[in-house]
Amino acid sequence: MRAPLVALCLSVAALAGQAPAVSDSRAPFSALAQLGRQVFFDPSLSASGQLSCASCHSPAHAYTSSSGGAAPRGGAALDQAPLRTVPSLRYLDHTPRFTRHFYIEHGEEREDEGPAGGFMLDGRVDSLHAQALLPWLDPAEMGNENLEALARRLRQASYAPLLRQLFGPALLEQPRPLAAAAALALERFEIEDPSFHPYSSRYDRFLAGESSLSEQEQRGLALFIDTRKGNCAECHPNTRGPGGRRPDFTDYAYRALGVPRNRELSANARADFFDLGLCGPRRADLRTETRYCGYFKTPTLRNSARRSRYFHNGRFATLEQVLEFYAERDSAPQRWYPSAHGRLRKFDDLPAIYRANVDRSDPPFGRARGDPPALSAAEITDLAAYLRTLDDAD
Amino acid sequence: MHRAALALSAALTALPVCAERAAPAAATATPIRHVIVIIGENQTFDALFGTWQPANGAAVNNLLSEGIVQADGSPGANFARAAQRRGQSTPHYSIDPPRAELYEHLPQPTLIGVADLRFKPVGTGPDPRIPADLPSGPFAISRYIAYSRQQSPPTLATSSGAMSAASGDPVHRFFQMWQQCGPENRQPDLYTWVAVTAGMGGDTSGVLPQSTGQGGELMGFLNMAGGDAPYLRSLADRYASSDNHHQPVMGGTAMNFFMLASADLPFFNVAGRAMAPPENQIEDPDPSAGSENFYRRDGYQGGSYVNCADRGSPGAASILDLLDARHLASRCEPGHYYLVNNLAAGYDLDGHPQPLGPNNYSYPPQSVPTIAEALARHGVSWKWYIGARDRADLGPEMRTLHLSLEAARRLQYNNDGDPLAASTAIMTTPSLRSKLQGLDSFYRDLARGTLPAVSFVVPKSRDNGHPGSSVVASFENLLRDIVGRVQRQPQLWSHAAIIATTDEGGGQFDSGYIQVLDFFGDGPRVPLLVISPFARRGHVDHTYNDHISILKFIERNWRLAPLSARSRDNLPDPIADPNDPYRPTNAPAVGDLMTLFEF
Repeated sequence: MRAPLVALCLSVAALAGQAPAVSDSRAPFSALAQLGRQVFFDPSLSASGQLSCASCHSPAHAYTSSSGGAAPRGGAALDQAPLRTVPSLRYLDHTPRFTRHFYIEHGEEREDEGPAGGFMLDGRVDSLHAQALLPWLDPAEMGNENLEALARRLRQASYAPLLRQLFGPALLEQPRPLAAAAALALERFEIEDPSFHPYSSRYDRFLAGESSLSEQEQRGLALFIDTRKGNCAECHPNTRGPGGRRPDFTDYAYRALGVPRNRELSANARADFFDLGLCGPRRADLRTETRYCGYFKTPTLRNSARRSRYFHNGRFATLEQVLEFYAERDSAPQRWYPSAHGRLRKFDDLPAIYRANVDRSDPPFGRARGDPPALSAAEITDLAAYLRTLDDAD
Repeated sequence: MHRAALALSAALTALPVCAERAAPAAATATPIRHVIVIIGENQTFDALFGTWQPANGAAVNNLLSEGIVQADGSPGANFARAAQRRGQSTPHYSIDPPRAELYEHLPQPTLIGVADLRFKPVGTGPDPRIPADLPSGPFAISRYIAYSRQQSPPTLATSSGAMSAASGDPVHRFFQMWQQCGPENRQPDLYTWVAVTAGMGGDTSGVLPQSTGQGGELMGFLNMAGGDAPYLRSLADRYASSDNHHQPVMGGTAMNFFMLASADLPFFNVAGRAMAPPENQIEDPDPSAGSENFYRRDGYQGGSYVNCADRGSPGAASILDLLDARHLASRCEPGHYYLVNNLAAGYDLDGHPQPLGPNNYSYPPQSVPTIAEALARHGVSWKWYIGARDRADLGPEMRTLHLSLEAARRLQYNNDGDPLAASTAIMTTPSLRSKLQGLDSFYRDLARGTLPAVSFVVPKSRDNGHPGSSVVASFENLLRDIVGRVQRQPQLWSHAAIIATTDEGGGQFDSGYIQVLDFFGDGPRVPLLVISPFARRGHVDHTYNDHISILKFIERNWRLAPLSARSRDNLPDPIADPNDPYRPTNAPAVGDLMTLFEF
């Protein structure tokens, strides 16, 4: 099964270098990326015939979901609730490959950040083209029963002739290479189309010296980097990255934050079901590494104010709620977690044995119950104002 | 944990025979049967011993003896020899750029890399404790930031308590350091300009051409004549030291440790075959457009390799010209991209190979032969102990900071100081990999009398004396504790040599001569102490040495051959110039440390 896929990857690489005849020389994209654009907007690749990639990753909403609710329903009858919220597809191009130990410098020396990188909230795939296969085959998303079903739909697509032209007629007969080719096309589209990385936020213009921040936004910025207040930059660095590139607002690392359980999720109807991120159930290879249970990847904060749901389980619906959770998770845990038999069940979305994995030491966490919140209401307003400067202009 | 270990050691030493459970030790060429190499971090000789005056009046070459500073740390009659000036921009990278005007004042030292007692960055920008108008040369740090006087065994509490004495951590990267030192460190006046203009490279988060985050922190030194680092001074007075020992590679931790383990350098490879790394990880130190001296591609998340056999490779020509003029070989194989700056080792602690890619900052597993395999082949026992490798090393961090094992290890494990974890031969051979142990194992082996013949000891990050993330007083506490434990065991001490040094100078200023050996170094002087009943008491050795000398000592003591045909331990011992004991007449040459002993 593996060999033909490798061979295909090589031939595509060769093709991309040659600018195949089908390419319009004036077009901004490679032929593969143009094909990828068609794949991205094609609802016929879903079992329901109604969902395309763009249904959940709407270009008009910074490639995240436009609909409310924890996660839009999918599957053949559009009645299946996905396990996790929809991430934005913007700003993924610097994502490193998954590693248990990611090294990044602090000051002059590098520090082991622990697990980092990879795509999806649990880093279980290492490239955008491998990522593309997952929603196609997820029963609660586009819902193809298997690769054969997906290949059947690709063969009937309006761009099938383009696929044949690019990759040769034999490709259409082989389900796995055919799906891989469509996934590579999606990857090229996401890499080449600037709408996936516009860097058009006011903060980017501020960094370039072309715009200023209001006093409130500047106060928010100060709280963002203050290691005793918001301490946001600890995981969401807001300074320029390698080569002077604009900040990613993520360190690509994983942490357990102890987000409260979201009872709207149908999977959570079962009291013994837990989404443990790095150690499963979706990711399979780290199940025995229980120190990582409850770890999810840090997302970028770019366009975070435009999201309709927050955290892996969509427990919160507004930016302010998220900030209040950070500020008061430890000082007022009764606000966030249920009680049973008079005992607060803190970190109720994790089995008791894994609750020690939750970060309790880095501010704004680490306060004692009854302490004042790490951030006041006014500070939360200021921080939210700063975070809104990270929204792209579109 | 330590208390338990001590109790156990007391019980064991009462037994008649507790030493050497291992196979009979291979015969040694000297009375030394145990070598314990303790490696601290990032201090040059002048940064630590710059104002040392040996108690016995022995000659030493340092800032004070050169008249650069006075015993109170203020500028001396020859301060101009270390005065810092600007350089002139050149179209291509140069290790000897034309000089421009003197700095009127030393650029204000910054807080770069300074951490607080909870391991968090203190901030960025100028260090408010140090004036902005210092003379543009060496200055005594302790005039502005008191030296920590706390003396106690190294615990998390004491080393954290000492952190208020931490000061800025200057850039220490390969091309920067070559440019700072130039040929032989003849004219050491560009250290500051290179640091301020090039910084840690633009491929490091937050480093920009207009603000590299660096200032004059690299010109700071501890004033031993004024009472700083009293334990190191007492060791140097009582045992043997060198004022001509060098870091073997220009730049930072990883390559200097790799050299210490192999007398050679790592290179990019796939399954042992030399290959080109991802393009964004190839160094280009030519000045970027419109900048004075800000390298085009350099930094911890990017430029780190150089194909130095190719004159056309960015940055290579200036160094190769110097080698050609001296008829020296570069030690660069064609098509090999050598790692010259810190990336993480190719395996993680669990022995999994790390992923490689343009956005991943590890280097591939290495096939370069190491001292560890050579010792093992000859039946000589060895271990590489590093703090925070094991859970037993991290109890206090996990308890008092409420951290998981992983999180605690991230703070205290010096991954660049663990070069054998980059070696395929070590990491894929269980009997060798099991010799990579934590510091708690070291204390237990010490207490039980099961120390191997050769021990490498790498402290936890907080105890290694690295500017910013540690203080020298904490390294002194660690050394005092280990030396005391060894000396309390007469059977061990009577045949032991503790060799204490730092991995490299950390980009701090040093005034000493540097021998040109090959493309990669040598680099500036670092401190070296030999603590042993056989050390020449109070001797200050001027023989030209670098970390390869430590390997040569081990190899000669246990009668091993050089590690490979190309490793640096093939270099001859120096024959000193009669007019200048610091310079070999038969360069390139490095010593074997035997001159620090009296057998």
